[in-house]
Amino acid sequence: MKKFGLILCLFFVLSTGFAQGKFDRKIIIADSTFYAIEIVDQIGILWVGNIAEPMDSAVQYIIPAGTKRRAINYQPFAWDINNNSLFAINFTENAQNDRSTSLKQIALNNLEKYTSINNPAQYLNKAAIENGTIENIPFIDTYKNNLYMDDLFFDMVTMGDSIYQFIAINNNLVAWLWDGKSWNKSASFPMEVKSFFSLYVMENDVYIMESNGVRYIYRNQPLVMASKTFDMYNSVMVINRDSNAIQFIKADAFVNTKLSLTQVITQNKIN
Amino acid sequence: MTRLLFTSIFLVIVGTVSAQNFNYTVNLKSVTFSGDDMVELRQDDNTGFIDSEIHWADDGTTNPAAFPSGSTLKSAATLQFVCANTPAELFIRGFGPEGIDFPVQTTVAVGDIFTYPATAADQPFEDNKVRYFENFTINWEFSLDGTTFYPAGTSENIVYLTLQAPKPEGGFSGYKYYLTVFDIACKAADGATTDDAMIDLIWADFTDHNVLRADGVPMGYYIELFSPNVTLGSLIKYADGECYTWAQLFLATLKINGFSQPNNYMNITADYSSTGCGSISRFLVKDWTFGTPSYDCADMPYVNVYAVDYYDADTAYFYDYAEVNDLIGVMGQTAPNPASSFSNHQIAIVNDKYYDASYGVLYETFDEIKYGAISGWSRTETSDEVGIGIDVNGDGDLDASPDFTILRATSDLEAADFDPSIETW
Repeated sequence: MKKFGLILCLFFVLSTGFAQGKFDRKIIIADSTFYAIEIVDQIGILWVGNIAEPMDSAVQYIIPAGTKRRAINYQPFAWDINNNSLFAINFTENAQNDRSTSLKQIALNNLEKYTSINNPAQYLNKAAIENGTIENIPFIDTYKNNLYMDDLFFDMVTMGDSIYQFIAINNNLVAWLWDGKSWNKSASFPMEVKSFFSLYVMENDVYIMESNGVRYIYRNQPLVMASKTFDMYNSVMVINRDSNAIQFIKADAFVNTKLSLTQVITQNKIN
Repeated sequence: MTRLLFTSIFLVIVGTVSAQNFNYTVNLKSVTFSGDDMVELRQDDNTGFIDSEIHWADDGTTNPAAFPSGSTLKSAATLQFVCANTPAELFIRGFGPEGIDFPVQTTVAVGDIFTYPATAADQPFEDNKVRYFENFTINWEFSLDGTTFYPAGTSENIVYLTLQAPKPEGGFSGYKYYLTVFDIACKAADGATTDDAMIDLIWADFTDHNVLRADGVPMGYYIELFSPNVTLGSLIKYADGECYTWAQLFLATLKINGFSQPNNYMNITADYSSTGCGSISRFLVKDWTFGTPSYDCADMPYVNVYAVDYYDADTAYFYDYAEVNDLIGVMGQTAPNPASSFSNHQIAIVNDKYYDASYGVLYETFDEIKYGAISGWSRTETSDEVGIGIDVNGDGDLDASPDFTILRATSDLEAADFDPSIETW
């Protein structure tokens, strides 16, 4: 097998150096509406609001999925919005969690509003058992073939009816594609992965963004692109589907949620 | 604990020139420990740190202190000296346990208060030895002339000494310097002088299924059948938690004593072995009885139907129909019959041995876990009466709706294996 000289020198950060931002990994803008997810006691809280209105006015929904906050490395929540559904990989810690049902497709109009009476911890069992109709073969395969998991990193995106799930473990990256019927597994690409990466879709291509800002386009293999480097640990990716643009803003930009997202982006954009 | 120490001393001092009688009242007001290696302890409810400014006070306040073995304790104290003519200076010293004493210091009055400055003990704590002092008692004395000393009062508080310097807190692991972690780590391993002895003594504390929080409350493993607590902090705060928390607690007590190894935290799942009924994704921890199977599916012949309120159960599983039933089996921490139907389980690995702190059971090899711990394998899926061919609601026919969640099970332990994955905690 041709060995790709691809080294993702991902930005290594000690376990105490993870991002402290309010929202995990990214914000999606579509039809002037923003979607952002905050993690509370492992469980995701989805904010849905108008980009021109104060962020405080966004409706918050509690979602039966989330991510753990305990690992030697930081793994932000892997999620996407598509076709009025929230797609996510449930990575919470709960003895009822089943890897095969960890990939979630949740109809947005079925979500419950998040209020102070909701206890996120009570949603851990829902996260374990509900909405896992597409068997997460990538997770089962990855765990079956790897014993040591400190260097596990993953993200997922959707494109049309397809789901892309990229998993890096012990210095190998594998791309999995759900084509609506079955999972297809790529070759294993040797690479050094020591921290999280993020995926995004732009004009029918899947991109990989390292935590140091270096980006790749995925065309049956990751191809490195000219990139500006910056610290994604302290950033949030804004995927604007209205303008087909990717921006990054400071992760700590959401202290004042009386501002609109548009104002926050203007005042805190990185690139 | 309320402890009022009040020392009233009547002194008759006979001078060489003239004789005078004085009434003195001496009151030990407070004692504060310090030291370069003193550890800042966290409140068990994670609301902040335990007060390290006062370790004993005459209003009944006592606060614990923690140090690595071999370090040197410093102590400061304040004394109130009440009399008609307060002396200009006072000599103060303290006698602690096991020869750990605090040398004489000359102090001057500020009002009627004399402050013994933070002073290093005349010897360090014994090196490489875990200690738990339930009452670290210091007998304080004062003197007017530096020669003749009188009792000034006694301070007492808890002191923890760890085998080695505690491993630093891990911001993303949940490992923090909770009081209870020190309490278990040092109380259980009191006297240990080696890593092996320390590990064995702490583990022994987990085997009696009565692990106590620092305030004496027993901590449980699934006292609540579907406990949502999965972090070390939540176990200590709520005194109840899942397997995650118990593996972390055991490892935390070792880290407090300066012992840590990579790849020490194991997640166990079924290996998703394929059967004619679908893949095996769950397991049943002892004991479960297997009744008469319906053989809806040959490879996993037993079926249970979850009640709608299955996850609302507090102490026993709710099934609308059951061919396998949970019995009291392997005892968990403070729980004779904890939750026992899982998709995954967490244990600690120390020196290549497998410590299941949730149950207080030690396995020498990985293979022992399967045969020692479980009654059978299972999986869940969505079905209905038609799907399983069972009249669950007893209305005399098979309904195609509503859907319900079923558990398929087999008692054949060879039908699957455990699939381990290992992380560093």
